[in-house]
Amino acid sequence: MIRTAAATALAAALVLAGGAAAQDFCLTAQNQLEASRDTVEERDIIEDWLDLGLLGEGWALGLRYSSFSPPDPVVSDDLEASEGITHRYAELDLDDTRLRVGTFTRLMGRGLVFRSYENRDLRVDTNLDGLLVEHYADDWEAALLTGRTESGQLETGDRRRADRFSGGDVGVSRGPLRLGASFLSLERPDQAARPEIMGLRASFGHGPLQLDWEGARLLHDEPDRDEGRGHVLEGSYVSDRFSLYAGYKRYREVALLTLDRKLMNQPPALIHDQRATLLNRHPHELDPDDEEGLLADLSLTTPAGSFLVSYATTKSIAGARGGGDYREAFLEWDTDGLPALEHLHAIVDFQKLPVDAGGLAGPRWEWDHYLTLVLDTRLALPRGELVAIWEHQHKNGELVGEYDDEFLTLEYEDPAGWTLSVIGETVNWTREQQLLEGQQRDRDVWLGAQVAATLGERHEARLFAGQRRAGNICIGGVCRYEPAFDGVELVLVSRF
Amino acid sequence: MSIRRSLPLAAAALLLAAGALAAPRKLPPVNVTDLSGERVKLHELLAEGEGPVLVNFWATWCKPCLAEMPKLAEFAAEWEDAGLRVVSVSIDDPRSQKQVKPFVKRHKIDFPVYLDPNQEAHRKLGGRAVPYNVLVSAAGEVLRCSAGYRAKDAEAWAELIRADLAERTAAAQAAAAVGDTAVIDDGGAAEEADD
Repeated sequence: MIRTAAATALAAALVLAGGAAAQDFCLTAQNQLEASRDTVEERDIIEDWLDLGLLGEGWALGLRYSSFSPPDPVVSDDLEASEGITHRYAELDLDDTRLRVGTFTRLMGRGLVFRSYENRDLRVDTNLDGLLVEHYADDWEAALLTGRTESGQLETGDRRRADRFSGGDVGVSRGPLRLGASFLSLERPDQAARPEIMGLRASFGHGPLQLDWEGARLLHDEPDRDEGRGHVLEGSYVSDRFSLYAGYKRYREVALLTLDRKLMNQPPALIHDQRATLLNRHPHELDPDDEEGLLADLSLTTPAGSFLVSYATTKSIAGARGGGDYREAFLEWDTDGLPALEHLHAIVDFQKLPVDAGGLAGPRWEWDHYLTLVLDTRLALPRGELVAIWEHQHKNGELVGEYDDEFLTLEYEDPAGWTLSVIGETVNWTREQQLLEGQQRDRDVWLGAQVAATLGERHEARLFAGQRRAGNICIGGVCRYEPAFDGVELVLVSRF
Repeated sequence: MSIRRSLPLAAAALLLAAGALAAPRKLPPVNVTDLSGERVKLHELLAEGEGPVLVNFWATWCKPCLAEMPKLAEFAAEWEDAGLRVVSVSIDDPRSQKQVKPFVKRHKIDFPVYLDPNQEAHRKLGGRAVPYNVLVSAAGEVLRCSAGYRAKDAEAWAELIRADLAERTAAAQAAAAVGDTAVIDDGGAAEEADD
């Protein structure tokens, strides 16, 4: 508690000092507070992330003080409260060179070799603590890094840093051609051998044509794992009236894992990220150790609006998941030309996913088929705007059978800076189907309301009350399972 | 609620209260890349023009982002004479990064488009979701950050742009006045030399 109080006092002092400071430097502060009460579980969660920074001419200092009392159950059900400084850094930014000591994130190429990043919605934070040096010249750039990753989740009280990454990245450009190379070695605690990953990449862009290739080779230190290899090739042709895009991926044993199985690279998954809630519930989760697939898009711009036709398929190279493919095909239509409606966005989507129906008896792969329709409309009112989103999903699963899911969002945006949303969902499943889907709470209707508002110039608040169904939240092929919620949730973000 | 649990709330409340005292902050040095993969320093890009810049963070999968683009275009056209430019930065991660260019063409996005695939620029400027807009003054100070576009934001931006313009005009007039004084002083020195 003393440390929290000290951090609070430090925050206040720095904010006040920043306000009074001369032009030589300024203070930046951002605070995100999330508080919720689940009335079914009778569980209170309070989480807070306070970022403080001092910014001068060519230099910066910063820290993050995080407090979890306790952490959200998406991290774990049994974590205890914890708090402390989770990020701190000093940065020097010279004309063409950047030096950073402390915590940092870094992407090499497209992420096939290395991607250290933070996404609070997914509860991913794979920052390194160490040294990063970057140099940029007119036609080349280079980076060197060394640092240790956090073991386990940042939200836990145990904040040991064990696995050390060291490596570099270089890129050169000559006219339409760009080439790059990366190398990284991983020193795990208590292990003599070091996994090493190296990658090459090339891009060619000329007028409407763009081609990109990236390949990587991973030398493991584990005797039961083969040498890893991964490739991703993408091309696009973009003209005024249409564009074509195609991508091919092949990843075999290229997951770069720390000792506690934290993934430190993220090869492009070549599957579209979707905004619609129901489409996001059943995505393909990236497996850098075993997948091959392609994505093809054709988009057209016509007087009736713009269209996108997309097809994606991914299969296991080793024949896992029953040897079958994940498939998704969708048609998307956007138009501003309809009477009364300011904008209409419509999607028809078909997904086929392999699911393990074997349970304790061992894996037995079956198929789930989803047909989803989404209508997203925006209507201008005399004052403000109304957004209505209707999502309908028909599921046909070999194990669970058939049922339908309806999801409706009505949102009023007031020009004064506040938004009121009403969110409803209903599913016509049986109790047996609910249990097969892993839904612990006996419910087939979920209702919620949310108010979001800008408070003054520096604060945003969001208050949600109601129920949310359990399900996945996925971004970039990385998913987390969010448990069911029934209660009140407040999010307050302040920036200075 | 225990005292321990209320401390983060107290910290947030303190920051709310202290917000009024905080000085305007400078734009931190952040890098983005253009659509061909060329690295660009955002603050240098902003220095290329003479007026304020509205940095708009978005993503291909974000429908509200797409909905606000025409409104941002209208606002930019309205304030073009004050030197306002809109720079759009896609936070699409490496997975969908290569789909940005076709998306921009399909949706006729007219702003200069840059990429921030690891969301470092977005986070450094205080973003936690998209859409996210940051208005930066001609002098490189962050004037206002807001999540998404609302009519209220446009009013606030307009007020800040007017103030920025007035400040620049006053600074230019002061500089011109100093220049005139220098000419007069110099004239006096020249007369003395003639004597």
